[in-house]
Amino acid sequence: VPPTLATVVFIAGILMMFRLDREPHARVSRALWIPTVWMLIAGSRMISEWRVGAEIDSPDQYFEGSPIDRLVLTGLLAAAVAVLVPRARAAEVFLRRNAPILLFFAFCGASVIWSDYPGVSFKRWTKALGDVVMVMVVLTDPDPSAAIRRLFARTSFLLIPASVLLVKYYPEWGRGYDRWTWTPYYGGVAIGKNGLGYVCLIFGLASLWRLFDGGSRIAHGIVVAMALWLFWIADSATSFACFFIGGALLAITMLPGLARVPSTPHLVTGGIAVTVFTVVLLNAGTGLIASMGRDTTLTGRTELWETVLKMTVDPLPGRRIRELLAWEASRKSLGDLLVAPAAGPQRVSRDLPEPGLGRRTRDRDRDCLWIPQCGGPFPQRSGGRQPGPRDPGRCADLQPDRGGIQDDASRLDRVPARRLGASRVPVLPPMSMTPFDDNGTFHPVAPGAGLRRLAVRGAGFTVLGQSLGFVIQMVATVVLARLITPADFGLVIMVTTFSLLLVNFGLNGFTEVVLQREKMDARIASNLFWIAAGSGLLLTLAFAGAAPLVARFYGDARLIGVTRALSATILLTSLSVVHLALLRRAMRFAAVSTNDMAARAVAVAASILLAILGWGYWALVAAAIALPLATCAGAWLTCRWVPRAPARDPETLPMIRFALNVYGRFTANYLTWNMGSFLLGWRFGAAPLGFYKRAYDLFILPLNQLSSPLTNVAVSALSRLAHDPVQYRRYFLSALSTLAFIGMGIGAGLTLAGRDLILFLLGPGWEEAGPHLSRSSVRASASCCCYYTHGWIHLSIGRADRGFWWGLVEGRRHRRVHRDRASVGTRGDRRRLGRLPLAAHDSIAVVRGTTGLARYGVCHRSCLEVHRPRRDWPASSRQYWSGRFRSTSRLGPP
Amino acid sequence: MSALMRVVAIAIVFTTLYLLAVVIVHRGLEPIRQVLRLAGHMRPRRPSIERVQLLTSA
Repeated sequence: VPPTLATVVFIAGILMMFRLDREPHARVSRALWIPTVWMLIAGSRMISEWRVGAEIDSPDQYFEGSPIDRLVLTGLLAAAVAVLVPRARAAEVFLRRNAPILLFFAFCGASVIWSDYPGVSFKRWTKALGDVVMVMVVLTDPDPSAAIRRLFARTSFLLIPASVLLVKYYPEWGRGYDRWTWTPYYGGVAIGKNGLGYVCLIFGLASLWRLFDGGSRIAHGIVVAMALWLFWIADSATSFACFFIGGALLAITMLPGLARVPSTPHLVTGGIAVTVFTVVLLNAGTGLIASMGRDTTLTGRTELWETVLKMTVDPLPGRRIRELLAWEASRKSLGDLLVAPAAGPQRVSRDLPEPGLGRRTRDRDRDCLWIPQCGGPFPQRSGGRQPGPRDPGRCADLQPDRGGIQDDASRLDRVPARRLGASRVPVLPPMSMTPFDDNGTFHPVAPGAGLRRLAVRGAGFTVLGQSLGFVIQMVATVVLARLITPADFGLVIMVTTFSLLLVNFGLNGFTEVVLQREKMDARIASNLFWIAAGSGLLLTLAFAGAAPLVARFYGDARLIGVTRALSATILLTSLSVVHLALLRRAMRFAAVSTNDMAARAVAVAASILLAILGWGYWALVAAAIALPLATCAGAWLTCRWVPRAPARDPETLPMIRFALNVYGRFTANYLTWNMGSFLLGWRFGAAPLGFYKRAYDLFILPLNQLSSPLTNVAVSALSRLAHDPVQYRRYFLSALSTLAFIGMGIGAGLTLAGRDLILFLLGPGWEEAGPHLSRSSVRASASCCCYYTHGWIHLSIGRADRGFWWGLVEGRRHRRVHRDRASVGTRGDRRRLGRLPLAAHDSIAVVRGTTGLARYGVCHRSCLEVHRPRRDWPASSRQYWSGRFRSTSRLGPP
Repeated sequence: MSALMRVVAIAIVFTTLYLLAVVIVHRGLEPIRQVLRLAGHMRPRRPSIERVQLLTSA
């Protein structure tokens, strides 16, 4: 039968089954197609894997994943979230009732921190979270019972017949060859025989259930028959055994006599569990397993686990895969593991991906796959066909790269050895590092050459991390705005406005010291760590003690508890400052970004969970504590360094002075940008502050996505170019123009769409935040470009003192603006505050802002031209300007 | 028209006009090219052998 004709017949058959099993009275929403598509993909293969000959060229490709798959899954996930938004009440009930599942996912999210590949783990976690979202879409449907029936019917009618069609008529999709034994296997719509077994198990059981439960006997009978045939050809004994047990359980519990006894299902399930435990784990049924044609050691897994379990394992995070690899590497040379020889018979190590998940055999020779085209022995397996070692035609047919995909872990093994030349090595940079050697000397990753490439790529990693962090933050904003009132937000912001100033004491200062210093060793770093930790502890105690004063300042007694709780964030942050700075100095931006992203995910998950459980503003407090806690844990895991005891060092005092200057500048700028929050909270209370701050955050978040990674990388890179003015200027102007091009565009766009954006993102009840967002965007985006970039100059040339003085000048102007705004509020009513006075004030501010921009331009130019450290600053401004203007043509090396 | 539709419409129109304005002011596509180049350089790539040697020796 020609494949085309068979396809037509199968399509007709599928349509007939849909018609036979239709439920005209079932009221299911169209949104059910979203989980249906999700389940079709999950039950078969990813979109990119449908391409004939689709193969993973390198582990990098595996780690990065397919953009098409990412796009499709993200689209489905976004659509599912959009469906759940109007069903928020039902979703909330679902989540409340399933809090343990959320806790489990929160733990899984936290485990990203100690994963060897946090980026990949985070993607997997997001994908797994998608399953929960899809379940929620199904269970929040108007008729959940009908929705479950339709979901299984749609997927069963498509996947099972399609598997038969592919196996019979499209072998390039439906069949493959075992990579070790070269025996053919049947995969159908799935990848690998086990995949086909899972499909038959799940959807066969679903059809069996519908067969007993009033579904179309013809349609579901056909599906069950096809599933049984597929079981037979797939030779998936485990799945078939599970299908048999599940089918028996279904049949027993649906017998009219037994169905009326409530304890029947429990008794039968318990009996089956005991039997399986006895047979599989206590080796009581060795003969039974052997009779199913299976290895009694479960293909060597029991032997492997005997070895692995003897190893020392950390109680909570378990054994890191990289450490297992290190253990492997102690047996084999690293080069043998990682680099395939360029000529001669090539082999791919099976042990590379994840020991414990991949296969291992006792025989060293059997660990290696000899690529057929190059000749060489094939591992001898019982029942496996042995193609000739030099049989090019046959080898080409075998398509070794397509076969034998058992699970995600084994996909790493799919790297075709012929593609592993000496120029491509399947390894990713390790996330963790030891910053100092035994002598206490710092390890530079890129000494000298390749700085630009590392810096730009570092910025890439950082931007990627920031983008994912932005997505997480936006999800949190959208969800929490619907769970927590503006007044609750305002209450927490009242305290964080103070606490963030203290939290940044070590963060802004010591970080720059570590980055900017030409030499860094373990003694200096240890001193910095203990100074940061000690000051963090003192500030924590002081802030907790000042809780009554904060409450009195704002006139709200609830702030006492909030202040004391949030004081812990100061100490937690101070403990990770030096570790994170060392990672940045080593240009491990990927590690820093991943850590930041994972910490945000943990904090957001905690806040959403607690908000759903009705904790109100305490959910936000918990998130504020979880963020530095997770960051600290990640920083210590990634930067493997334990500080020494503090020692006297003459270089410490200048470093503290530098750090204080940086912090002074930060404080001035912080007061500049947060004066509005102080005054609004003080004058108008929590709710108006909540509106204002949410709007401010919505504006500042996207801008920070660009500016903060650029700042991290720019200060690192510019610091190393401090003695090359031409290169320095080129780097700087390039970064500034990029920031201006994108930042000003975002600002103007938010001005135009601010009100609608607030309405869409935050939902009803937040309308008052719209005008705030529209008004402040353009002005602030222009200011931000200047604010961030002139900070780069001061820090990179080691003149934090200049930054401090500029911050004071800048702050004076902003404080005047905010004082005017607050006085308007006290004189007039809120209507006046929202309209005329603010509009008039904004006009003045635009004029002031324009002149300010011109001044900043002058400042930048002068800083670029005279970037040598000066000892006479601050001199009088007149002397400074008159003495320091030079034409660009006269610029030369200092 | 819903808020989302308005946001999308404003974003499309504004982005078009903004890029047009940038092209007119700079008399060319250089700023856009510069950003695209930068984004291209930031894209993670396969590590070279030199990079791997650095990492494995570190």
